[in-house]
Amino acid sequence: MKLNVSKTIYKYILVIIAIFGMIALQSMNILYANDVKFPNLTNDILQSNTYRNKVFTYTGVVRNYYINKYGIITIYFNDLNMNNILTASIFPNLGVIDKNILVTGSKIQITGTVKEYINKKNKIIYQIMPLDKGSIKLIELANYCKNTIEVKDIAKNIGKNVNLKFVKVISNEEYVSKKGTKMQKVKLLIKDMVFDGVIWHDKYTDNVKEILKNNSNNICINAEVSQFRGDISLLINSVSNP
Amino acid sequence: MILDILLLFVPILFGCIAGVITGLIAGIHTNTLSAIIVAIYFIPGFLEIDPLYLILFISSMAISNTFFDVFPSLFLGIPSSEVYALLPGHKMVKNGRGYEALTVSISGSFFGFFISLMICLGVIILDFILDINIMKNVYSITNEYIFYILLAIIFLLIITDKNIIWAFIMVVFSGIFGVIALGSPIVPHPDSAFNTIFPALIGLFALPGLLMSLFEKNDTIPNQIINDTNKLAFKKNSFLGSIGGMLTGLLPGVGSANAATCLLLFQNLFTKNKEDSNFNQKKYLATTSAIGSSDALFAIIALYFIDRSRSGASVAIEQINADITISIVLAIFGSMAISSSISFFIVHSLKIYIIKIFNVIDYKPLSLSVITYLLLITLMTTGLGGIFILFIGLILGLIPYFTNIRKAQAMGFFLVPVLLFFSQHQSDIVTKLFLEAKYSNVSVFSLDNFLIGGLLSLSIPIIIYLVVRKFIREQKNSVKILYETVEKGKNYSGIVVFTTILGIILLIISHFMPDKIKSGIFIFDEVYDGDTISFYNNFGKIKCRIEGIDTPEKYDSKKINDFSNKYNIPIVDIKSSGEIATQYAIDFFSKSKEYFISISGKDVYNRYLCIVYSKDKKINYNLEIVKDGYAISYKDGKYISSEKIKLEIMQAEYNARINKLGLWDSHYIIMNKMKE
Repeated sequence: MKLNVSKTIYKYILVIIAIFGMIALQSMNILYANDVKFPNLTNDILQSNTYRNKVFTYTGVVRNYYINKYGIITIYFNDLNMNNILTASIFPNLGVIDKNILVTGSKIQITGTVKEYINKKNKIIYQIMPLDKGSIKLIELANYCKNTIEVKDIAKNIGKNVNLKFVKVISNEEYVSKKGTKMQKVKLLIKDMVFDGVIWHDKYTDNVKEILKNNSNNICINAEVSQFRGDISLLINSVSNP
Repeated sequence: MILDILLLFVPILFGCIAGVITGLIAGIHTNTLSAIIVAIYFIPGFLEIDPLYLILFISSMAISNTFFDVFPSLFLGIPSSEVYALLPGHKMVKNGRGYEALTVSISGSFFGFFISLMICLGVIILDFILDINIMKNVYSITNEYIFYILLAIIFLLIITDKNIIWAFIMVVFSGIFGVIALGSPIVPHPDSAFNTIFPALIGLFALPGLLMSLFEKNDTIPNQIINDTNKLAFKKNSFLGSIGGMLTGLLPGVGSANAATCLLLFQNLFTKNKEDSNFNQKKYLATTSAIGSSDALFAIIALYFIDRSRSGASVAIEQINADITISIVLAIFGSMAISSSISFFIVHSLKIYIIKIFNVIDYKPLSLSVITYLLLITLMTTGLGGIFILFIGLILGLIPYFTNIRKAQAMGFFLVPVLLFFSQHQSDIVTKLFLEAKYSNVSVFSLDNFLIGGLLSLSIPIIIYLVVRKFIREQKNSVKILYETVEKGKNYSGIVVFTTILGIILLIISHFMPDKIKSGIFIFDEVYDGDTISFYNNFGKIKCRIEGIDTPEKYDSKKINDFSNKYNIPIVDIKSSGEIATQYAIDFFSKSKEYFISISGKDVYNRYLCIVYSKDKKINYNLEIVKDGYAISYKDGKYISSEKIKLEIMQAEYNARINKLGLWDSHYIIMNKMKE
């Protein structure tokens, strides 16, 4: 056999086939559905050591999350039935995910491969890695994240209790008033606006402390909108209580 | 004692044999066997074996594999690992220089490993004497600039090509192909033993050459020339290769293929004698072989230096035993040194016979049977999805043949996805371009499938070879034997013997190394909670369970949940008392850096059982925390190794309790219930 066709024609034919091939491959990827049912991940399965690299479905309540600089999202769950910490790791190659699944207290379901690793504190961490974006499902949004108002509407609700989501605490310090009342003065970043806020001592529970200590990026709050020296001040009633 | 040391050689020898098998059979990688070993190890009761033996087996296999996986690449044109994708060795074989290629490759592998071992030992000694972890420092600095490093590699790769436009098209196309294929659900998950990498690699780098050779009229393999290149040639290239291997081990996202591409690029830019293609091919070969062996070492040792796993073998070792102490590191060095010497010796002794056998093989029937083998093994391991990926790879892999650009441009397959990740905007980009990854739980692999598939994949190509050979018979002469010294250099037998002895010495030292952690002075590291604290010294880090005491829990766990339910105490209160005990420990250990730790064994969670004293041994933490009322005696001192300390702790607990000290005052109920 001999190659008689000129190289010029060949290279263009190859490029065209490659383009069509890749389009076909990606179309198959998009059309592929992970609709198979997988067993639920339980503490017993993790303890039996037979879970490695197998696919399970886990349903849990989000305690907190962390995004590293490369966009890997680690979700921590609030699960007292687990002997060790369970996390979900979502890699950025899965694409942009629904932010609601990151809200503390939301109930979510993840189907993915289960692994384990040892963290810097030498603790065993179980890790579930979703198969794709569609295998991360929001089952129930945290209650106080329902009926939230937009940041532009805060000023319209002075004197009312409102729910706000995607709140980031940027500073938090203890303050004692002249009358001796203890409170936490906080600065909150909501969307791209900064608000002052106050958490009275009786509302500054251990749970709230933990959330603020973990410097959560995406908490939900219920607060009374008030005014202090002409500026809006949010009197916080509750901070994500999973 | 002697028997214990001799027993260490058993896994090393078996590992070496496994390395030969994984190296010779294209498609079976060390990662495959490592994954299988881990899976078996964790089946309860199935494999009750000392983890050290498995670690030695995997290390030995990883290094031995690098001496043998060059065979499919050289003689069949199959890059069995990505580092050999650009190897010019197959071209050398087609020019009758197979013997020389083999010699250069194994000496490159061996010398690359030797230099890497010396670097590692040097770094460890520096770490011991000056307390400077060079690897960790390099890692943290380079980590910041990895995106720009990768971008520069791609940029250089393109602008140094003869045809920049086609080079750019090739990098972009193969990059997009990489993004799509590496996140495709039609092939098994990337963490599976067999995944998308193999078909893509075969399509991009192996099949185009084999296919083209079928169309070439005079493409036969000439008689192989045997010469006396038994010298340590290309030391500079081996050194360069070992630096490449080190960078691969340290830089996140830089695979051995990327390092090879980069080094070969630089080598090409600074080569004076560009006309002597044979000389350049050998330099390439020495560099890539050294990268392969050096990468095998650094990828495992990265576990110790930077707490990161960098290969399938290191992931397996990490899973088997996460606590990589200095004694284990030395044992790994010893195992790899011995295994590399054995592998070198085997290849070196048999290479003339291998060449003689190869001399009687006809190339076109061989190419056809290799193509059949590759298609079958791809089908058996990754299914039809793998075949489709192989096909697209093949189309892209053919482009350099028609545009006269470097085949290295196809390395965009690996470089672009990694670049995308380090851009910090991957999620936005893949969403906008509809390139989001999807994984499936598809697993084509099963033991039956593997055995039957393996048998078919090997037997059918042999039949095809024998049948086709009847029709296409090539003219062969007897083996030529030329005696020509190609490169100046010292004979390598001395260095092989030295490495073997060094390996044995390291293995013996590791055996006698205190596990190897023993009582002595340690530096405080971190408080986990009141009764779990970590320390470190030059032998590694230890996590101590403070012996004979118990403090309230502070982390979410089943234990805290059960305790809360049993005594109807809110979890938040238990955690609060746990925090107070933790704070006591933090305050205690903030006073000094060094402590004397007496180790009596390990608990069920693999933590060391420790009695912690101040450096002068005057203050005992185990006793102090109980005395101040922030801990109780665990099961009334049942497990305390020292009778004297047991009595002291019991007395201290009694005093704290009646005087309502510490938690006995603020959290009396919790402390009281803990005693039940």
